[in-house]
This record gives sequence, C-alpha cells and structure tokens, in this order.
Amino acid sequence: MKACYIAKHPMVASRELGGEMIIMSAVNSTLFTLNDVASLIWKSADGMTPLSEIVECRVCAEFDVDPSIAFADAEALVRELVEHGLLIAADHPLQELSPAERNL
Amino acid sequence: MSNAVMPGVQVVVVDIGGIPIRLSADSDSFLRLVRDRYSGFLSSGLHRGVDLAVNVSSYNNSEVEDICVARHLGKWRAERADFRLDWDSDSKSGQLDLTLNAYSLDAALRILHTLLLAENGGFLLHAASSVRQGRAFLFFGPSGAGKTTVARLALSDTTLLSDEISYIRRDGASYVAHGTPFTGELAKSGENISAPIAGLYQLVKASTNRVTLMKQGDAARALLESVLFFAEDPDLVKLVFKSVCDLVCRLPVYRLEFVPDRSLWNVVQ
Repeated sequence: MKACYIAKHPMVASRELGGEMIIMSAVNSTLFTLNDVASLIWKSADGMTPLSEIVECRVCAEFDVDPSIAFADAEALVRELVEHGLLIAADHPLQELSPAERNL
Repeated sequence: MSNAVMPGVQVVVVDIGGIPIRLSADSDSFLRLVRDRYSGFLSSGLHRGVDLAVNVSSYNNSEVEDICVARHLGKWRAERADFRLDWDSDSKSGQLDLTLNAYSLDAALRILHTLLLAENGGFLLHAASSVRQGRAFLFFGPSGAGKTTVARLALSDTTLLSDEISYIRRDGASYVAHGTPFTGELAKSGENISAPIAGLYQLVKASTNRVTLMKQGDAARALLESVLFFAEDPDLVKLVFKSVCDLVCRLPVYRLEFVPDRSLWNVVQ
C-alpha cells in the first residue's frame, strides 16, 4: 500500500462549531461542512501521520466501521478535499504547518 | 504620511464606530458633501485615528468593472470605476481618489472600515440594527429579507443604528454595535450611538412570529453570507471567518420568522 500523508492547505480556514467542522476556502470563500468521520480525519491531518494510521488508530477506534471500508472511504474523502484545494496529500511526510495555519 | 496640512487643505473628521477618520481635501464642494452626508458622525478629531488624503477629481477607471480589493507589499488598494483607495494599515494613512459623489465616498469608507475592523475581530454586516433598553438587536439577511421593513417597524422606545449596514466591534469577550450613516432603502442615517449586542436575527418572512436559536454552524454559515468582505485577499477572508466563528461562540444567533408588523418585537427580547 502506498503511503499517504495529508495536511491542511494553508489557504484554508476551519473551525469546529457545536461539533460540526466548517471549512472555508480563503481563495474563493466557498464553505464546506464535514461529517463526524471526515472531521476526525481533518483534525488528524498534521502532515506527519500516515492516512492508514489515522484510519486505524483514530477512525476505527472511534467508529464501528470495517477497517478496509474505512480506508477506502478515507481515500475517497482525501481525493475530494484535495480536488477542492482544502487538503494537500503526498507520499512523504509534509512539513508541519504552524499552529496558526492548522487551527485558524 | 504626514499629518501636516497643506495650505488650502481643510480637514473634516468622520467618526464611525468610534474610529475617527481625518479626511483632508482642498475641495470645498467635497468638504460640504462630507459635512452634510455625515452630519451626525463628525467629530473634533482630537483622538489619533486614521488619516486619509482625498483628491477629488473626475476619477474614472472604466477598466475596473466591479470592486477590487487587494494587498500588495503590505498595502491595500481598493478600486472601483469611480474611486481608488490606497491604504497603509501600518501607518494608518492613505489616499483616496474619487469623483464628487456621496456613493463613491460611502463605498470607500465602508471598505476602509472593513479593513480596520478585520484586524480586531469586527466586521460590517448586511443588517438592520436597533437599540432597545440599552441592548442592540441586529436583523440580517440578503436584499429583500426584510431589513428595511424591520427598521420601519421600530417601536417608539428603539433607536435606529442602521437600516442596511450594521457595524460590529469586538470588546473583549463581548460585542458592541455602532450606528452608521450607511443607509439602505429607508435612506435614514442611524444614530451615532453604540450598545452591547443582545442577539442577531436571521430574517425570514412568514405568517407567524417565531424565534429559533440557531446551531453555531448554521449561524456562522448564515452570517458569512451577509458579511461585507472581499474574497480577493486570503488573509482577509481568514480574518473574517475567524471573527464570525468567534462571534457565534459568544452571542446567540436566531432564525426570526416574522410577520411584517410591530408584533415581531414580542418575540425579540
């Protein structure tokens, strides 16, 4: 399996409000809302933790889901968020973003 | 930019939201326009504020169709066909080139206040706002939602802050609404007063009056659609997003289904 590391794009602002993750693209002001699983993956996107570890240790630990299905869903989510310019994905660890970039 | 005033140049200070803006110009017509247009918002300008040198001319940049606000090397430029504002947020000074037109000046001042507020957790909101019993109530929504209607339906013990553009400043953990001279259909300037914000109401015309507390996420999304800001600058977008998120964590935001008569105030407390 090819390694995948994910990080939040620096041109994105996000905030968890009332248990709901809201993301805004600072490029075009488009708003996105994530469901619970996607929010957990988003919060775990530190550029250093492999997606497989995020799914295994966080998603599967918190939600009653089959690991293979969870990983496939996570990959699809990552592809979608990358297409929207919200996530950066690479096959190597990404330089850790500053707290301001991660949490703004 | 120096505070020195050149011969022939006069200064008039417009104080909106507690931020005095010193407009210096050598055009008597412009100065008359400012004194007339912002008559309730003029101050002596004793407090250090913002300096804007105004050049009144036949400015017309037909290449700029819509408003364009961008930052280059730390300085802002806001352009529209009828004005250009150059603004240095570090020195709190700038230059405004415009035609002699109240709408051009209004637009330039709104943009300048948007930039000033963004740095401090505030923003301008498409909202009517009133003060009642020492507390401010804001009614927001797009054009046609009922802002002017609500402003018209103010009770005798309410004071209008604005029928169109409401001014929100952060004050520590709370928020204060200020009156503005920026008018909508009612064409009535708000009073130059301020009050702590009690709540914000998303306007929805209906056959009965009903108030529903919005979830924070829904409130943020609704407010962001009504905030005045400019998408060209990512840092500004991030600041406004943060400001709105901070506000919905501290203030109640309601969905107000309302009948267009004064009975709506029965549910706005």
